[in-house]
Amino acid sequence: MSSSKVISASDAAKLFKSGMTFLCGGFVGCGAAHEVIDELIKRDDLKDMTLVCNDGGFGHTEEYPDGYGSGKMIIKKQFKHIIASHIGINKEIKNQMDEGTLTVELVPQGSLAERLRAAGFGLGGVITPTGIGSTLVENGTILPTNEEHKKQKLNINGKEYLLELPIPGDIAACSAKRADKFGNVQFHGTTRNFGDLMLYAAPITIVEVEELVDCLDPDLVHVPGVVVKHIVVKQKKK
Amino acid sequence: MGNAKEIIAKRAAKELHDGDVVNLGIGLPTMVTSYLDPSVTVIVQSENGYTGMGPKIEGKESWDIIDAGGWPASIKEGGAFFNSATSFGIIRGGHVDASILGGLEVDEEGSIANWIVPGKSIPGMGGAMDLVVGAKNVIVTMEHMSTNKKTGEKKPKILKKCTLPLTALKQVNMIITEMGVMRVTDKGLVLEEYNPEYTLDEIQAATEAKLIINNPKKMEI
Repeated sequence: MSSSKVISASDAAKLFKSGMTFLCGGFVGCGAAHEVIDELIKRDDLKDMTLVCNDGGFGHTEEYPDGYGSGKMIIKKQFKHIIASHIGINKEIKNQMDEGTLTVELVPQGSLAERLRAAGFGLGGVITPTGIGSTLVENGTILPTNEEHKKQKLNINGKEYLLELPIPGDIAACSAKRADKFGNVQFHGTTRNFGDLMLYAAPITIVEVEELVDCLDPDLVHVPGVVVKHIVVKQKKK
Repeated sequence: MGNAKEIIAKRAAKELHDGDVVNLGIGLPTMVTSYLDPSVTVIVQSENGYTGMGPKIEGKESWDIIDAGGWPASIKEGGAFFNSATSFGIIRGGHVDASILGGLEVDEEGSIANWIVPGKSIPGMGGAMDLVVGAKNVIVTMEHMSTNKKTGEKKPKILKKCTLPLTALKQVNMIITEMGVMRVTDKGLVLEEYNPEYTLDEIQAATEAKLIINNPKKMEI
């Protein structure tokens, strides 16, 4: 290998540009690239991005006065649009929607996973029964503007389905337990969630790991290094 | 009068069989496992990516193993971790035997609204829509009526037709409240069991949907 994939969190943060679509791993912050996020919130110039994340992390809470996970970047008003399955636990999202500075597309969690997978795996879309009967999901309603992007409905063998389109990103970042020098990734626990899918769905991919090893057992690799462009080794002890 | 939530959780526990794969919504549904018969062991799947979810282990909290609410949990022997596409493949693909979740409204056709109150709060649907579409047995556990926190006014939650934005269309199999157990059938909503602390008239009066009442059994409370 001619060059290392390893970069610092602050160099990873420099890869982000205003207006980008950021695929942010994590479920309520579990699996988010926390050290890269801590560098991103230092960038006052970063704005108007689209966040794709299961949720908005935590906003200001007693336990996390500056927020947690994607919530830290939301507090810094770095996004103009969020695509997520759940926004209720970060009140900052509602505040910005009320102010008119943020729009949200709510996507059922299973459909979000599949739309990311479709983007990463070269599919034109996925056909799912989830959301049939929900006006908001069928119409692809954007909140709070109520702008609609009606989804195609299909009837297959007498059952109704929605065609959900891929969600590609410009840049993806998540965290994992370990990576080897080749970028092969292993997750631990419930950190895996969406990061495992997002690492295929953007041209710039960053995994933040606790350990960097020489070479993982190929049978035990969760994400092959061929899609992992950059590795950040966590500096902070847990 | 027994505590409403305990009555509901105890009765819901009877719907789970040994070896069932179950998904439990936040709040009341998580109480159900405390009331399982000792002969019944279930495998709890958590939407964020594992089977075999167990309780938080004091002193050994891991932020790498969390429940669907975002709080430390644990994984039991025999569990497995996987990504979100697999997690929802298990859910949507019909591999979950029972999904127990709360509701804002359920109607007599089995449609459920449990994720948004327009104008008030927009939490988001999370995994609720997939869960209701995919699980083999969808059990709604909720109090029979809603209570307005300011005025104390009570309103029925079991309706002829849901008025709130739907989570899913016609997917609920049974509703368990502190007043009784109702099953969604193609003939309508059948009151299979009732809490003898209420009269059948009181139960119908608390329900907007027309209940089919044909010698219901007494609920164990």
